[in-house]
Amino acid sequence: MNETVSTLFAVAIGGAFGAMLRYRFRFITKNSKISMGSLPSNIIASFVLGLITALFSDAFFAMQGWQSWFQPFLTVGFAGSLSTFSTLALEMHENTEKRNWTTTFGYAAFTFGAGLAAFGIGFFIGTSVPV
Amino acid sequence: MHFPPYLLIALGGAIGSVVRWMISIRLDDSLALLPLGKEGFAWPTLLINILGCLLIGWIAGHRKHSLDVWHFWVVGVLGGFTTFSTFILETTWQLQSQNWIYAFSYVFITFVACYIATSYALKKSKQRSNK
Repeated sequence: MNETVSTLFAVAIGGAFGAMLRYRFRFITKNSKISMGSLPSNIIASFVLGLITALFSDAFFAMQGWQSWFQPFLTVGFAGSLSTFSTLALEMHENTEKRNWTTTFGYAAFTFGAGLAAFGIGFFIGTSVPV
Repeated sequence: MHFPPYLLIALGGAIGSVVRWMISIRLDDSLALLPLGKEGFAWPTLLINILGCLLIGWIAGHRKHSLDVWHFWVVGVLGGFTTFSTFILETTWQLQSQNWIYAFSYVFITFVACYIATSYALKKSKQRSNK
């Protein structure tokens, strides 16, 4: 199959799974007074992207033919769709309306910090795996 | 009659992710010509996230939207279109290459612009639908 077409399907299927899982994960924070439904998904997606980025920079994976679709399936498709910025921004807006600026800033800062840390941890694990 | 939520979300997530992927590969070269583009400022992701935030605000501002619209457009298409994990990846690279100013401005602009885009679109669409 043409490489662009196989990548397109990989991104589409990864995106479909990412979106469904994101919808599922909003239950984790449903009892919170703060709107933060996208937080778990954003953290997990950052972890996954860090892990995959490290794993696929490795020569072992680079040699495999399936990398051409498996890598975009997980990164652009799955991790890209599992994480979201639009819902995060809408939640920031809701937090300002319902609560205050401090909550909004704290939520944004926490999401950013946790995302950065999750990416770093994923990347570290990815580089430590002996292959 | 409602469509099954997960069907709409999967379909929307697939479409949103593919559109994000297509925009990023199609516009990568031309957007690199924008200020700081050559230094690695991630214009494609920034513009994708801002556009997604304008649209989510616009939809959220409507007084009445069906659950189907919410599942397909907001959770699916816009959730899949906008991304937080790629934003974290790009920030990490800039931090790693010690591009402190680019990293800071990228993070700052993304959060502030997305917040303003969402709030502004929501306010405007509320005014229109109340007329």
